[in-house]
Amino acid sequence: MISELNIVLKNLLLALTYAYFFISVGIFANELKQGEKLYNDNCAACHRVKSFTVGPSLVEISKKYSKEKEKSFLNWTNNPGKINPKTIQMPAMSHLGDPALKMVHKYVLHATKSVKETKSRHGFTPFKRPEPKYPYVKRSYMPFASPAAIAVVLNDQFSLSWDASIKRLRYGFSTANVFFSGESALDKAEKLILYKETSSQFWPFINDEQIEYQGYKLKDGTPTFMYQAGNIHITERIIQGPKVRSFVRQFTVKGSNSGAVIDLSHDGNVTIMPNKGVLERNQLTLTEKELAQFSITVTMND
Amino acid sequence: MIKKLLSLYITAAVSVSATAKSNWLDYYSIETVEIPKTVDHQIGGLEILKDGRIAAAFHSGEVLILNPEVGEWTTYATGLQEPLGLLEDDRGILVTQLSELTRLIDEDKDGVADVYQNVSDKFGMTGNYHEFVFGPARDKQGNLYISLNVASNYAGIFEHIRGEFSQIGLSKQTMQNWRHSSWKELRHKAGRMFSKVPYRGWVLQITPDGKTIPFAPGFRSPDGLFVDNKNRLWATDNQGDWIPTSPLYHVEKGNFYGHPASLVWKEGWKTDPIELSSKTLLKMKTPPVAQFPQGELANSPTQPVATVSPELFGLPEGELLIGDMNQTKMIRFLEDNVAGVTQGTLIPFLDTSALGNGNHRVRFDKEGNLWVGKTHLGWAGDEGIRKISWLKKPYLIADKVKQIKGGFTVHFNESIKQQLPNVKLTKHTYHYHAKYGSEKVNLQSVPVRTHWLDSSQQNLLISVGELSENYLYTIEFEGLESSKNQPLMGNILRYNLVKKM
Ligand code: HEC
Repeated sequence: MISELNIVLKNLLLALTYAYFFISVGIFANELKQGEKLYNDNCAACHRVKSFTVGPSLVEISKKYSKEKEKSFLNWTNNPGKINPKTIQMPAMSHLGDPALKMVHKYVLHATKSVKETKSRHGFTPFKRPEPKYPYVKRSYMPFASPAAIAVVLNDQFSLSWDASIKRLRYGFSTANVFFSGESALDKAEKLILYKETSSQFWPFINDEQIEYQGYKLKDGTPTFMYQAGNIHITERIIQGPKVRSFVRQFTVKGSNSGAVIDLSHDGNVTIMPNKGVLERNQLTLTEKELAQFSITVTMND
Repeated sequence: MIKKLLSLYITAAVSVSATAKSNWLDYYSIETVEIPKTVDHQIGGLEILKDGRIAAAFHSGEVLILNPEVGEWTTYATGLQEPLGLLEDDRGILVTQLSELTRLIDEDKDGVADVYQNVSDKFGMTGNYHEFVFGPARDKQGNLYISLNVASNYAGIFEHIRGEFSQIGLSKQTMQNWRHSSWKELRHKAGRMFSKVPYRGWVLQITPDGKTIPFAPGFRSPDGLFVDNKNRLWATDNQGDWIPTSPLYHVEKGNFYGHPASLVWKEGWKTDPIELSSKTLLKMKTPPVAQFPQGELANSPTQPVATVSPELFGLPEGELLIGDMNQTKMIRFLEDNVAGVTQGTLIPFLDTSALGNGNHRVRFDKEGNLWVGKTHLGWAGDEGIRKISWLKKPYLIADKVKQIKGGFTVHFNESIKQQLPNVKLTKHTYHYHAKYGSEKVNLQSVPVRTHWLDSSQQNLLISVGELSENYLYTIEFEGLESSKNQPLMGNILRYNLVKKM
């Protein structure tokens, strides 16, 4: 009798243990499912399990935010900071609420059990630009210029920055990648600038900003900029000069009924050679006839 | 109790696998298009040229043209600055780049553009990384439309900018000094997203005679512009501050579309947008025509395109089909009009991992193939071009969703089984606020009173009683099949109820 009761009790106990096991697994599985859904809806756009995409992989995240670090996981997700300057800012996830974020955390830890990270951002093969053919033109955010700048890359050593906002050449520089990433490395870029125009205004007819920019022609990588000051139509072609670090600006000016004095003030150790007119103290004086078609050669002195 | 829990767990597991039987790949093929290695495979613009060739704009700044008959690409233009849209016109190919709407003209007809003509640069630029330019779209009168992103306060502005700097809010100098540590404390004063130079956050109109006109403010990241067959301009936007979940808008001149940063460029405007209350803005705001619940339908919807003849692609003609950066599906928009208000329903389409995400630019060619260009730009997404073709097998879809008094009618393209499907309805709304996005607010199930089929067996009427304005209704069908036993493709309908009958 006693032993029978014992067996019954034992079985009951066993049954209860099983039941408990199933319930807890059930609840846990349910939380995991919810965590997974929450993760898919709110995080998967920027995080993947194994690879760095927009943000770090879950493998990375689970290393830093282990089971014991739930609190710091909540801190971050409610109010993300900035760690890696190369990534975008992660948006705050506080609207999900802590209970939901805890489930996401559980899911993150679960999904990364015995998973290793695969290195390669986005899983895309990074694009490698082919060897360039010179000269070429590229619009880009550039340092010391407006965001509407246009790079004229003459060769692997010398390039120019022509700014479509002010419709004029800003500077010449030693060809280098820092010039194609905006203001990200100003100090480095500054040292590579060889020539810089400093006059407050280039054309005497009209304020630089009021000149209408019309675009450029591109032939064999060489640009001819087109712009208009009132009724005066100007084209400016830029080509390689006689030396590696020199360039020629070939102008045509239509519609001016007078000559002009052009201010060629600049920084940099260069020699300036106009093909027409009189150059004195960086002021180039052109008659009406000369103005119609002239060129200026600028050569960096070694 | 134990039983209940266990059975709950089991039903959850079962219902997940029950949806597996509808497979989009039974009806569509997805082909990857080869692209030369000399360009970055992120696609900013896609256009089908009149002669049948395909033009694509790449993240690395080129426009290349594919002759699909021989599979050969040629270079049309180079050196562009983040081109994000292409449109052919009778003089060349229009391209939106960060600094300009440009027309690429092949004057000497050698197949390569020789003129990069400035069509419009009458908008400001600060150098902030988030100032993208989208479009162009063209209406029947020949007006062009482009849309301008607002800037993000995770960065400031360049030393040199283009355009007038707004006197409202933070000074130019403060914003130029953003690399200093004090920016962390100051940047919230700029607003999470800001418009410090003209028309950031606006849709602009460029008239055939070349004038640039500020058309409508209130946008944050309007990546998709499209003019439909009825000459209406559509735009999508992305979830973020002041945008609870990504919306679709019908854009009309002078309306305000919800993100306040751009208001500083309204004539005579004086108030700093960050001082405006939700209540004030809500009164000004035009409601979206449709909404994409974040994480479910779309996180960053992209370009809409109108569907072509049903014989070619299998969908009714003239519907909007929209891509998304984050989800591996596209989205159909079915229009409804109530008392002159356009609103409607979003339905998932081609919901398959085989599609992949990053679906950024979409165009139909003459044969009715859908070309999809993909990008990521450091966010979620993918690369390359896919060509999607209908396998000419019919399938069951909802093709009209209309509001009726106290309910909805859903029309199907084929008759459905007399045995009525399970219909589940919920409704929810969103918070309109400066915080990034909104959770679903007031989410509740909506009991179905009755639902019945009309005699054609193509119209399902669902009666729920009083409907609520400014709620998004989610209608989910379970086990809905055609009389020929085909499953319903796209079984969750999201009706954005702005106006009730
Ligand atoms: C829009 C993109 C985006 C979304 C959505 C997003 N994250 Fe992030 N997350 C990031 C980026 C980017 C980083 C890296 C930030 C950095 O290093 O400055 C990051 C970093 C993290 C980190 C690591 C922080 C550290 O200390 O290194 C955690 C944890 C994290 N995210 C969790 C989440 C969770 C959980 C969700 C969803 C609830 C989520 N993220 C959604 C972009 C995102």
